[in-house]
Formats: sequence, C-alpha cells, structure tokens
Amino acid sequence: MIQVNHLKTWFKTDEGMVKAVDDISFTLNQTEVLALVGESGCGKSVTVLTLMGLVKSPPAKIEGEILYKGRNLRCLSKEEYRHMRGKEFGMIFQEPMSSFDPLYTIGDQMIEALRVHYPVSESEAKKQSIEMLQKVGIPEAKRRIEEYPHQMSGGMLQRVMIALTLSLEPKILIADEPSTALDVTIQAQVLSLMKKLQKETGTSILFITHDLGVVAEVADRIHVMYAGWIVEKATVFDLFKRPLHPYTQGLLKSRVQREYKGKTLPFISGYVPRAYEFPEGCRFHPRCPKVMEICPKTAPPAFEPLSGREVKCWLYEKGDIQ
Amino acid sequence: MATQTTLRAKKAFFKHKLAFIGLIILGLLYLMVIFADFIAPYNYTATHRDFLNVPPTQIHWFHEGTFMGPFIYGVKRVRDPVTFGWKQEVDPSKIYPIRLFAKGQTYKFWGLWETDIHLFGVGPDATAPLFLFGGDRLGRDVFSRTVIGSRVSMTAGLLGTFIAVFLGAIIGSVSGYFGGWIDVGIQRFIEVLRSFPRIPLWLALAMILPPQWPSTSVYFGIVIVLSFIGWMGVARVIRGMVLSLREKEYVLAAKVTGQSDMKIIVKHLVPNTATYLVVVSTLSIPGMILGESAISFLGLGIKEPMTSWGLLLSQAQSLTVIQNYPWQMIPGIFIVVAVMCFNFVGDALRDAFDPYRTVEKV
Amino acid sequence: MISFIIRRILIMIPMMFLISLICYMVIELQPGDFASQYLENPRVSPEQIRYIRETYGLDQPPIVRYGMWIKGILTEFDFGYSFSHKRPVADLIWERMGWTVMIALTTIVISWLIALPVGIYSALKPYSPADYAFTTVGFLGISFPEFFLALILMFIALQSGATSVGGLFSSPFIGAPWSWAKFVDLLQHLWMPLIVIGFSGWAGLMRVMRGNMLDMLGSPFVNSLRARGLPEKRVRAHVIKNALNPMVSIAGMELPNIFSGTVIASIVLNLPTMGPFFYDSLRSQDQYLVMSFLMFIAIIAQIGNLLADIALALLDPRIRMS
Repeated sequence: MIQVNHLKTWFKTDEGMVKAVDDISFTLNQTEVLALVGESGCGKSVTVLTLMGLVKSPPAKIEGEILYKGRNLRCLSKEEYRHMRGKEFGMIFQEPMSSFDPLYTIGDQMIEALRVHYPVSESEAKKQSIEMLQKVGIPEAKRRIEEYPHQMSGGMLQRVMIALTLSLEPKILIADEPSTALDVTIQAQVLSLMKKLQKETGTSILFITHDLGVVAEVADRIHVMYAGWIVEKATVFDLFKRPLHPYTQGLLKSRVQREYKGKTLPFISGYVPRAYEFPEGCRFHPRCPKVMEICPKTAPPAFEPLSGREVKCWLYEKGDIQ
Repeated sequence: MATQTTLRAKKAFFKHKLAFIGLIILGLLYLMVIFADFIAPYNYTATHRDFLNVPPTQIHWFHEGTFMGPFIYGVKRVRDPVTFGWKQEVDPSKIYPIRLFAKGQTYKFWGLWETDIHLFGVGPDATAPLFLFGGDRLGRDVFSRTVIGSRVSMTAGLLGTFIAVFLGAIIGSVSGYFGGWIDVGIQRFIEVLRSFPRIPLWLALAMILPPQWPSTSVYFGIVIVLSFIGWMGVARVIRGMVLSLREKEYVLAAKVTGQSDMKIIVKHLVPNTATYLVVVSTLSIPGMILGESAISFLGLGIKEPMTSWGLLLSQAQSLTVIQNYPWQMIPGIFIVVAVMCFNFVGDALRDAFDPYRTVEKV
Repeated sequence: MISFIIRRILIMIPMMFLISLICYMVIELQPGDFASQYLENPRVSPEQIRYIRETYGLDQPPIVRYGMWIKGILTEFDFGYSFSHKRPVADLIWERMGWTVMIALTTIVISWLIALPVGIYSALKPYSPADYAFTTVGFLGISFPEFFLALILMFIALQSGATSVGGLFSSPFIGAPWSWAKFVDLLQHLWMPLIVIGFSGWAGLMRVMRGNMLDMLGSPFVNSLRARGLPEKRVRAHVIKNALNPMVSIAGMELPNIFSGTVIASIVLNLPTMGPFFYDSLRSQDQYLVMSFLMFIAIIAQIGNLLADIALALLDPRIRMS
C-alpha cells in the first residue's frame, strides 16, 4: 500500500544536523499491522509525521520517496496532501487530552472533521458520529457527544479519538503510541478494540511503540528502529523466536521475565546517542556486545540473510550465521 | 545547577542585540549620573538673563571657509529698528571655540572637592552661552538641567524597584511559608490594593508628603510611594514559588534537622528565587521611572531645587511653550530612551532566565 | 454558573468596605485638611479657619467622620460634600462620569480592534519584517510616558496649523446643542486622547496576544487538527479562539490602567472628565471628592474583573464546569 524509499528527514539545529530519520525504506501492505519499535529518540515519531506531511519542510530537509497508490506523496502540493490527511491516512496520538481542542465539544470536532472530507449535512454527520462512538464502546453516546474533552477520562477520550479517526474511513491508520499514556487495564481494552476494528474494516495499521509487550499483541510484522535507522525487519513470530540484530537481542533480553528472578536484569550498556552526535560507522557499535573491526568504520547496508528478514548489521554480511 | 542556568542565560541574552545596545546606552546614562556636574557645562540653577527661551545654540565648524573645529559665534545686542526693542544678533567677529575640559562655574564634585573644570564649554568670558538644548524661561541651560535631572530620574526608579522587590519578597515568603490566615489576609489585601488604578493612587499617596519637607526628603518619600504599589506583584510571585518550594524534600530535611524557619527561608528558598527576582526587578524598573516622571510632571513629586526629567517636562506644558520653544521638551526623549533600554534588557533577561513567562511584572 | 456569580458578588462586599477604608486612610494621612490651604492666606483669620473646620465637621475624630461618610453612602447615596465646589460629590462625579466612561470605553475598543489582529498576524509570521516593525512600535508604546506623548501630539498638531488643541470641543461648540458638525468636531479632538491613552495599552496587548498565539501554535492539539485534514484556515480559527481566552481576563485587569491613563491624559489635554477634577481636588484637599473618586474607580475595577471572569467562564467550558 505504502512504499517508503530512502526517506530522510534532517533538522538543522544549533548543536548540529539532527538526522532524525536517515535513509529508511519499508513497505506497509494491505490489511496488515506493521509495528515500528524503538526507544525514545530513535526517529519513529518523526517518520510518521513525515509520512503525514506534517513536518515543515523548510526548515527541515526531507529526501526520498513515499509511494502511495502509484503517486509519490512528496510531489503533492500542500493542498493535495491536506486532502489525503484524514481521508487516506488517519492518525491517533499518544496523549488523547492534548489532541482535542478544549473549547469545542467532541461532537463538534467529529462533525467538523467529517464535513471537511465528505459532503454530509450536519444532522447526518451527527448521526454517523454517534454510531461511531457506539462502535468504539462509549456508553450513552447520544449524551456524551455533547461533552467537552476535559469531561472524559483518558481511556474514553482515546476511544473517541479512534472513533473520530476511523469515521473518516482512512485506508491507513497510524497509531503513535496510542496506549502509552493509559493505565494498563485501559491499555488492554484500547488495543483489543483496535484489533477488532482492524479486522472489521481491513485498514492497514502502522503502529508505533516502545513497548514490546504491546507489539506481541497486535502486530503482524515488526521493524526495529535505532538512531534514525531501521536495523531489523521481521514477522512478529520470527523476531521473538530469534532476534538477529544485537540491539533487538538486547531489547528482548532486558524484558522482565521469570527466569531472571533473583538475578540482575540484563541491560544494554551505554546510552542512546544524542541525535546530533551519532557515532561513525554503525551507530550501535559503541554498545554492541558483538562489535567487530569494521563496525566503527563503515555503516552496514541492509542484508537479507533469510527470506522475509532484513538486518542492518555486519554480522550477516555473508548470510545467516547459524 | 546554578552555573548551568547562568551559562545558558548568558548565551540567550547575547542573542538579543537590542538588549546589548540597551545595556550600553544605560551604561552611558549611568555614567552621566555619576559625572553629571562634570558633563554639564553650566550649573543647573545658573540663569542667563539675556538669553531667555533661546533655541539651541548653533555650532559651526567652518568660519569663512576655514576649518576651525567646533565653535560658536558671539552675540551682540542691537536695537530693532522697527520695534525699538532690544534684539539679539549673531556677531561673527566673536568666535568662541568649544574646548574640552574647559573652565566653567565652580561646583563640588559629589560634594567632596571643588573644581571648575567641565567636560566641555566655551570658557567664562564668552558673551554667548553654549546651550546644546536651548534655554528655558529663566535662561537656564536645558542640556545641563537634563544631565543633572538624570540623577533623580535614573535612580529613583531603581531604588523604588529594589525596595518594592525586597518588601515583596519578604511579605510573599512569609505569606507562602506560613499559610493559613496570614496568607489569606495578605492575599485579600493585595487583591484590594490592585484594583486601585496606579496613577491616582500614586498621586494621592504623594500628597501625603508634607509640603514643608526639604527636597531630599521628598525624593525618598517619592521612592517609598513608588515602591508601595510595586511590592504586591512581587509578593504574589514569591508566595507562589515559596508554596511549591516548601513541599520540596530538602526543606523537610532541613526542618527535621531542627533548622529554624527563618534560616530555612533565607538559606534555601532565597537562592532558588534569585533568578526570578532579577527578572522581575528589571521588568519593573520601567514602570517606576514612568511613575516618578508622571508624579513629578504633575507637580506632586520631586521639588526644586532637585530636578528630574518629569519635572523639566512640566515646565514645558503650556501651549505657548510647545509651539514656540519645543526644545524644552527634549528631556522627555531621555525618558523614552531610558525606559526603552530597560525594556529591551528586561525582555532579553526574561527570555534567558524565564522562557516560560511564569513571572509577570509588577 | 449562577452560584459562581453570586459567590463572587458576595465576596465583593467586604472588599468594597476594605476599599472605602483604604481610600479614607490615604486621605487622612495627608497632612492638614481642606482648611489648611487658607492657613497661609493673610485675609483669612484663624476664627474663620476654625469656623470652616466646624461647619464641615473637620474637627471630629477620624472614626466618626468615616462612619458618617459610610452611613451617608449606604443610606442615601450621599458621597459627601465638595468643599471647593460647594456641591454634593455625587452630582459632580455623575456629571463627569459620562465622558470618562465614554473615552475609556472607546479607547479600549479601538486599541483592542487594532492590537488583536496585529498580534495574531505577528504570531503567524514571526520574525518577519512586519513582526519586527510591530514589536519595535510595541516597545516604543510601553516606553512612552503618556504625558510626553500628549505634549508631542500637541506639538505636531500646532505645527500643522490646528487651532483648537486640547479639550474635546472647539470653543464655539462647547455648550452648543448636538449637531453633525459638533460630532465631527468631537472626532477631530478625540483622536488625541485616544492615541495618548491607547498607545501604551495597545502595545502591551499586542505583545500578549502574539505570545499567546505562539504558545497555542506550538500546542499539541494543533498537529492533531492538521492530521484530521482540516484546512489551515480552520486550524487557525481554532488556535485564535484558544489564544483569545486568556485575553479576556487581561481585559478585566486592564480596566484600572485605562482609568489611570485617562487621568493623566485628561489633565494634560484638559478634557472634561474626572481626571483634572481629581487633580484639583487633590491639591485643595477636598477630601470627600478624592475619596469618593478613588473608591469609584476601585469599584469599577472590581466590577470589570467580575465581568471579565464571567466572560471567561462563558467562553471556556473548563472553567464553567469546575
């Protein structure tokens, strides 16, 4: 559905050039859930903001192609891009409370969004919105549609956001850490809601998170990001069974598991590098337990040691190392 | 911690070129305050009976084609053939060069030692005075009076601000730290005071100063009147900060080790509020300078023999003066420049120390 | 909502007492009284001075006089007697009130009409030449003392040949019945006080509006609105509405300052408002006039604050429902 080729998003700052997204390529297929995983600062949010056309291009430098339905989105005019936002791509944000205008009712905002994209009357839009609210499990939808954002709880508001976004019937849904700000129980509810809706509508979902547990729940495929790169691509099953990139291995090892009881939790030593001072060569090499001579000198290309799997690591230069 | 903040602040501050210029101009103005007697060519009370309301003296550089350095022509009295009144005419035969470190009237530098050397002048034997900004209705040099006036205008505001901030900090700390009835009482009182418009209140308070008071006492009285309104804004902010700081762990720790309340306030709370105090002070000085000018302008402030820019302007109030002797309004420009510079500096300081605009000015 | 208003009005009552007390004390602290101005006058004998004091009740202890004053206000709307004008204070204030309020309101309306759009524009195009120009003018505005501005404007008017400078009407129109010509004459005089009073207020307003707008533009919900595909015009409308809200409370707090400005401007420009009146009565220590005037303004300020709070509650659902 969407093919991203060699996307770069760079920002010029006082401290230097921030290469938030540095030459990534990936594909999002129809009806699949693709998870973009990584820690804070790895570039996953900037990636989706770039996809949505929400990064102001000067001052940022953007290169590469975003192919959707045969067109390169980067060649679109601002107005054309705007038309696609909401209707072709929808986005759900991390903080539901700061994603709504506090001065308008949720109903007003849902109706407004609908009427921008579809020629419906106000009463028709209201009807559709109420139906959508019911679908996401908001009780007493008819009454609550007149409420203001601050009157609802976080979990409820997140559902409203999902309702609003889906009511526009996008082909692709981008979810930027939708459950991170919520309590664990609400998190589970929101995730199962998303899965259910995805099955019903057949939307493709690009799911951003740093939480591997969530990934296991919802995703079909996973791309792991680090320091502006995609370092590993695999299906959910393959990744958990056998992570290839040392970073992914470290991530998986550092999850709290029963076998660690009584022992020190393993962790990845070192710190995530600042965006303006990425290391030379492979960006992970200062923290990598399997570092080799070539790693500090040259950045590795993406290798494909097994079919359907990609790794950006010199270990796999000659294929799978097993 | 503090050094990181100051480093960042310094960097942000110098990004503001305007603030830099402002700082330089303010430095020059304060130099003027210190060396006022020296810079002014004439004593500010010296009158020149033959030169009432004269326009600014023309400075010439060339005499009949030859370059002579800056000088002025003398003046002679002639009878006007039509009105038979005395008139003044430029006398090109008398040339008075403007010299640096010229001799002028004697004065006491800061009341310490007597001297008669001024920064520049035309010397005691010139028949025509060097009035850079013209003369007023008593034949006094407006430039000299403006320079001397800077003493009051530039210091009253500063003093008033410091007193206001100091008072406000103490009252605010007490209010925030002890809470309860003290806090509520003080807050209500402040709210009431704030609903009074400043100028009428200042005027009414200025009237409290007995008319018999000598000039210097009036000066301090005005300073106190100015600070009377100012302390409230500071108190509110400090109270807010104290309230939040109070709950922080290190205060509890200090209490547990038995430190007295007063010590806690001084040792822990004050340094943390220091940056905000700096910002709020600089933001409030413009208001104080304008306030002193307004009060003096309306005749309720600084009295003769002291003078301030506001007082000088009040002598330029009549329509006759505005129409015919507009140079007497020049002190007003100084007010604007001084206040603008303080505003630039204050704005830059605030961007440096308080980018989130948590402090509102007094 | 109603309870909110009632609660605020109830709080105002003790505040008003406090205000009257403060007004009274400030005047009491002034050395001497109304009769003092005659002390230096050789034509007024000590007996006459004593007589004046007795007739006007100036020899009573302060508490008694305060009590009498308050009683008069509460029972008969009698604000005391003006010694120098020999008329009840209430009449005098009433006569001048009209013009004072008219000028104050006109100034507020016009400076807002100019400041808000300029502030919005400056925020939408920050650091543009127009923005710098406006900011500089703004700085000028808050640095200019009002009386100096009045003098300069008078200078300019005189230089360009105007004959009637100052006051609200030229001599032929004072006391004349209303006509179109009189109205035009009024406008020709009105521009000066409007600029003098409005200039500094305008400057501050513009900068605050600009600051609010910039804050709001950086707010998270803005991206969310764009992600829904709303046209930029609508996004701007949302942002402006959010930025306007805090301005309402500022309006309430600005009221005393506008009155302050009116006082100085009217003294210098000789306008028929309370300003010159207040000034004269201050100098002649016509106490009831001064006290009542101060109290009046303080109470108007309180009312202004209340109205602003009500307006804010109406505009902001979050405050309305707390």
